[in-house]
Amino acid sequence: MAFQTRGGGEDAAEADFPESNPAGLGSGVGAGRGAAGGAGGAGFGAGGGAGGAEEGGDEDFLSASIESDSVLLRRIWQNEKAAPDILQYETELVERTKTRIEELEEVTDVLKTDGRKAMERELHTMDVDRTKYLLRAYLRCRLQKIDRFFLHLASDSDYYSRLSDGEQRYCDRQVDLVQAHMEKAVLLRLPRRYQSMLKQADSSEAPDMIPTPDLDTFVFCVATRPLQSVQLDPQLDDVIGMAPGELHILRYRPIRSLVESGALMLL
Amino acid sequence: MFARKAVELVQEVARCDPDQILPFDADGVQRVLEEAHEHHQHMVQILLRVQGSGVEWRETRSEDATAVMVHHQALLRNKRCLLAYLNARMDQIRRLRWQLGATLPSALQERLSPSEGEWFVQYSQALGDYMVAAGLDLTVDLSPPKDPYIEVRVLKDAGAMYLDDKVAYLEANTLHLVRKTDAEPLILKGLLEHREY
Repeated sequence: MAFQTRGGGEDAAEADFPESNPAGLGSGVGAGRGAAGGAGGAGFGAGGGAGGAEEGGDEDFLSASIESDSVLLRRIWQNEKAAPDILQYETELVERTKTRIEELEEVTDVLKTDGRKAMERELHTMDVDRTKYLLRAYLRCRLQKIDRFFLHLASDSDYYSRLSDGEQRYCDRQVDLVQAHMEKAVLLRLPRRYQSMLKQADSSEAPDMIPTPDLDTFVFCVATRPLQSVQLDPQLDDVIGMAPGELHILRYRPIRSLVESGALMLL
Repeated sequence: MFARKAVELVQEVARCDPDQILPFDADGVQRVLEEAHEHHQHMVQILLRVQGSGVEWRETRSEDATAVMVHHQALLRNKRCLLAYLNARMDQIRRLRWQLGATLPSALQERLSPSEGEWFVQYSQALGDYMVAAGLDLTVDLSPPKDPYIEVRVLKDAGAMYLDDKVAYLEANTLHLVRKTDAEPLILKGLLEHREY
């Protein structure tokens, strides 16, 4: 993996993007393999290109990895909105985005003092606003899933590990707070052996009162790279191939791992 | 009995307008809990009687076994309805927190039970802590930005307020050009009105 820092790339195709780096800031934003040529002036594209690193697999290095952070953030947010369960937290992308927002805000502050640069400042402000909106929407979507399914997330280590540190703390607190409230209001006032929050009665074999997301809903999805055999239903031996750009409506459960690996994009 | 009152509780909360919240029905909850205990009493009596008569549980009369089953299921239904009632209200209260911020208007605050009030304060705290750690206020910026600034008209006198690093005097019926993210919470609270052309 050739890590390329901003401004010193080995690849001659990695052109400078002067219009998105007016004050020469942005060094070290998002090192990653692949040139940063992708999205032109849209958003804060210049540093990104780490889309391939997230997805893994060398075959998409050539096809889909040249992607700016803003495009990636939009895609990650879309996936999170459409998926019924919670997806892996994109730590690096969020950190890079926050850094980029800070840098852009610094630039706009500097430009505030120069009356002639009002237009430039407007554009930067719009860029900041849009980026912030995407980031907020992404975090909000995840938080609202935690609000609904905290018991499930806390009891399943796979899902729990998909949360960021802040989200894990939030999730744990939700469990405690809701338990305290339910016990006080109802549970401890019920007959003994019916007081558990997770089981209907102590005689239940396993926790049967934990709400879980419905993984059998249908989602719209598009392949990001050619997929030969997607197993849709293990019992019926239903297997399809998908070409990039084709729109499919599929049940979420069998294709979960493809969404997680980035091979499928949800709409 | 048999969860009829419990179902009424659930219907009460299901019919409520999503942006409002009804007063906590403490009496309703109390009645459902009492019924749950009645069912439990019946169960215990039958079990004691069967044990006392020395009959093996496997050979009890089917009336007894079924009666115990029915009471047990009714108890469970009462429990589920009560928890569903609490859960639905918690969802509504969470929504209010996201819309109206950490302090609720007193009209809504008094509709919460004491336990819900405590839970709300702590939920609010947990949310606030998360947002501080993440560095972003997640309750603003709810729609994609078209313009960074929007024009607003002040509905109620609100004195002087810091908007976009400048002090603005918010008198009723004045127009201001404000940053969208600053204006949003005030619009949700009813202080400002977005002027759309």
